[in-house]
Amino acid sequence: MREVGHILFGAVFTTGVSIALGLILMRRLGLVWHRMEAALLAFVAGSGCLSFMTALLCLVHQARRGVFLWGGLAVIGRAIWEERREPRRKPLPAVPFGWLLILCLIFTIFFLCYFFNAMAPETSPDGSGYHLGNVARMWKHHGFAWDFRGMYVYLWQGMEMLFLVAFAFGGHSAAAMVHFTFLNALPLLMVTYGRRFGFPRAGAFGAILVYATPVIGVDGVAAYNDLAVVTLIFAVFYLLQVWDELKSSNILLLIGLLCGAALAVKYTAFLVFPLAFAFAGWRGARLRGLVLLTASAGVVVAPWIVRNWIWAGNPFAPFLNAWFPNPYYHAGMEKIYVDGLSHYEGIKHFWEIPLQLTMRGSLVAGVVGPAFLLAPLALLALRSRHGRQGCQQQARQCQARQRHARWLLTAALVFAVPAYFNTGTRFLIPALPFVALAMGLGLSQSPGVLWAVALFHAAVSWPAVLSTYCDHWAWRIPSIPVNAALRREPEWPYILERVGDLNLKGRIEQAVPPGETIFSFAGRPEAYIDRDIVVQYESTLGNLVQDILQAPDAHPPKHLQAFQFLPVTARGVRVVNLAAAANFWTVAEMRIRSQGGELARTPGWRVSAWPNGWEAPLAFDNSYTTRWSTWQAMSPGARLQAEFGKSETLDSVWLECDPAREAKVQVEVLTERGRWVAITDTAEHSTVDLPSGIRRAASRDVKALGIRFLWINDSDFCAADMKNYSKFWGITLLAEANGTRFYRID
Amino acid sequence: MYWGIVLVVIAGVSTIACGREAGSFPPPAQLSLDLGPDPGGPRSLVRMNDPDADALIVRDISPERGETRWAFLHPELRLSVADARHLTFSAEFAIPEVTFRVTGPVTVSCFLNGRKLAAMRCGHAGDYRLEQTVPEGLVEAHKPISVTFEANPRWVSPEDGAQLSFLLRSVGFTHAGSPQAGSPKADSTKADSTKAGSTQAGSPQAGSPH
Repeated sequence: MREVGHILFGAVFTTGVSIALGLILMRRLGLVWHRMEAALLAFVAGSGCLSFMTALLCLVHQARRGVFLWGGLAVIGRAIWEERREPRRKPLPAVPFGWLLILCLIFTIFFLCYFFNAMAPETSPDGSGYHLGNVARMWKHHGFAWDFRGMYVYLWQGMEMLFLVAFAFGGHSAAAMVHFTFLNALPLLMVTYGRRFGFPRAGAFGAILVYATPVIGVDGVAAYNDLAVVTLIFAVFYLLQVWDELKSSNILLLIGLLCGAALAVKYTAFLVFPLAFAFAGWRGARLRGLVLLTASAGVVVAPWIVRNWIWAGNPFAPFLNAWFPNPYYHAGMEKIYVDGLSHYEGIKHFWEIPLQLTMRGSLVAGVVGPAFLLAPLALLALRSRHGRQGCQQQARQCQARQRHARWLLTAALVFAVPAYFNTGTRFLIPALPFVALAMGLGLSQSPGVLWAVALFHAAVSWPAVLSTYCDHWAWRIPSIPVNAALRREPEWPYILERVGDLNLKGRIEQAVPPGETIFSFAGRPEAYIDRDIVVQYESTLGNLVQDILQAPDAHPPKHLQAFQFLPVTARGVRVVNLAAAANFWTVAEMRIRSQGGELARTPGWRVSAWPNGWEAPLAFDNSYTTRWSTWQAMSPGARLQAEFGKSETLDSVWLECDPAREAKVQVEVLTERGRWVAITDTAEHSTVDLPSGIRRAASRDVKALGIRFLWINDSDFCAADMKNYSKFWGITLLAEANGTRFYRID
Repeated sequence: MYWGIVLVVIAGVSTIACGREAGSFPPPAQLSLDLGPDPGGPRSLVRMNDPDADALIVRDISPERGETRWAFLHPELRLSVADARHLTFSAEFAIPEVTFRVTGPVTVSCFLNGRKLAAMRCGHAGDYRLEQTVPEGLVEAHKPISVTFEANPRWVSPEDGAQLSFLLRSVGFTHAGSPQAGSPKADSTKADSTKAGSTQAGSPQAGSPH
């Protein structure tokens, strides 16, 4: 039970500090709120502040338990002291008793289910993978681990900053509990929204719909960030409506802060700032207000922009690498990754998508529940009833409802845009609160229908019921692990049962000295393994190791392109591609020859390339397993070149490569006058016999990159070859379990 | 508002302007190219549990790796020798009790490049070693050598008609006076040789089981 206490303390302390920071900020801004919304908005705004401050601590490696504890207690103390001097806040208009009853009932039942799942040992794929993997790494270094590079560490980590505070006291589950706090804050915020703006039934209906939604539940109890981002987005929307009534510039400052915090939590919130700016501008915000909005958003994201710009050479890493070329993440890999996320796998017809999203869930990772098939009914909220109502007050209410419905539906459309780039159901979560509220408004004229839909949704979203109709592999809460949550059941067997890779944890940590890295083609539960893992698609280093390991089978450079020309004296030579194609252009070795022999590569040479010039030396290292690649779609002007530092006579250039049929290559030489002159684009093509030992060369070259350990799944490309020919690879099997093998390079 | 937009544009443009360029590098250290054998490369002797045995099997030998593999209808392997002089061919195989009970005595013939080298009559179940000096000119150095076997009679499955010849353990060439030449596992070859009965094809001892 002591562990349970640590977990709860970590989560409650992080939430408490967030609320305290938020209350202090609100007071400084002179913003007055009603009772319930004050606490909720303080939590949301304060979490942005806490995340920002923790990021600053990580930059200077002072993310330590003592700093969190004493700093947090000071903030909480200050907030309590200030709050005692505040007059008692007014309550919001009440929710009708019937709705309050049903809301409390459903909320309590689902709360218990979610609570025990969030408290249980964290085993979610991304949570135990990179979210908490990053947190564990940062905790080890008390800040950002600058020597570890990967796409997931470049992501702005607003949520991980909150996780880090909780993790310092309660470990993995405490972090998940922080996310769970956002899961609870969102529906409460929706209720207060409905109460504040005069449609409490719709607010309660929307809250029930959102809180019971299966994908929101399973996501919210894990150490993910989707519920945090949607709560921040909804808070921005909420505050924009408040600002529209009060027109206070300080509210715009708060909105800017939340926009920045949302973006810092997840890039998919990239539309929240433009939307807020456009709304404020359109609704008559003054220049000061817009500057405050922009500046506060800018301040919150500044640590991430600065960190990535200096560290990775790309403020928006791991995206926009074509705009910000850098040696740490290939633009082509980014495209492959993004393309992979934006395609529905296994869906044959368009009409399958709504069914998958609402009821099936295996092909889109999660379901929102069949009640959302009624989402088009939200359009009913746009109906005009002025003529029939007659009464002026009702007409005003109707207009207000229409206005809110318009904004809600606009927000739903805007925040559904990220789902176009990622087909996972959880990428629709930011749109769901708006859809649910709009549905509530649309059906509010038929209270019986509202009740029925809310109860139906809650019933069919309950885990046991859900399992009767969704696909077996749909991502969802499978059970309520009370014993595991309360640690009456040992933690480790529970984790091992769900994360098979961890069966190798002990042997890996025993075999791999601290500080050494492991290569893997697939992501691993990094949060639980005390060694750094370089994953194939997560970094340039991962790409290089993958490319090398696949060279023996996938692309041995047996293709020789020989460009012959009359002897010429030049200071350099380059090969330039003139064609455009989707494939990468690669060269394993570029050999410059004269009189039948190769010119020796002397230290006076300078080799370079564009694009991806950082890897140009790989075409001049005399190894057949390494190669220079554009690592992006080939385009005219791509080149690979060597300058000799003095004049040399040459008469041919050989390119040894995996054939790139689309490439149209010409050879250019650098004259004494410093001009590049094209001399031939005609090559003789032939196949060459490679020297033997390419597997051993591959393992040698991987080792030269600093990686001595390989963690291979049986389904990986070279797994069978490594298993059959480990002697030829020069690797030794150290352990195997659950279809994975762990090798050491000898 | 105007200035806000201008600020955003300036900030955006300034970020775009700051992409890195790689520059140029001296050539890296030159790496060696020849790092030893590849699986499936020229081999003069193969054991069925060698990691690269699959690469030397042409047809009709079972794929699962083990001490022995089933030879089916027309088993064939492809070997190679660096020196074609003074060669001795050897093959280790077994006639299992279970097939022998059905087939009775089996004659196993061996062919190099389609020409018959030797034949052995296996009068009972057990392990056998066929060994025969290779006539000069029958094989050439550095060229693929097709090694085929024929067993007569073969065991025929009553269910699907599949035919089993024998269990093959190893096949290869050695040089006179250097029995393990060309074998990457010389010790184990030698050890196994002592287990198997060594007989000259056609000799009175041929087919002595152990």
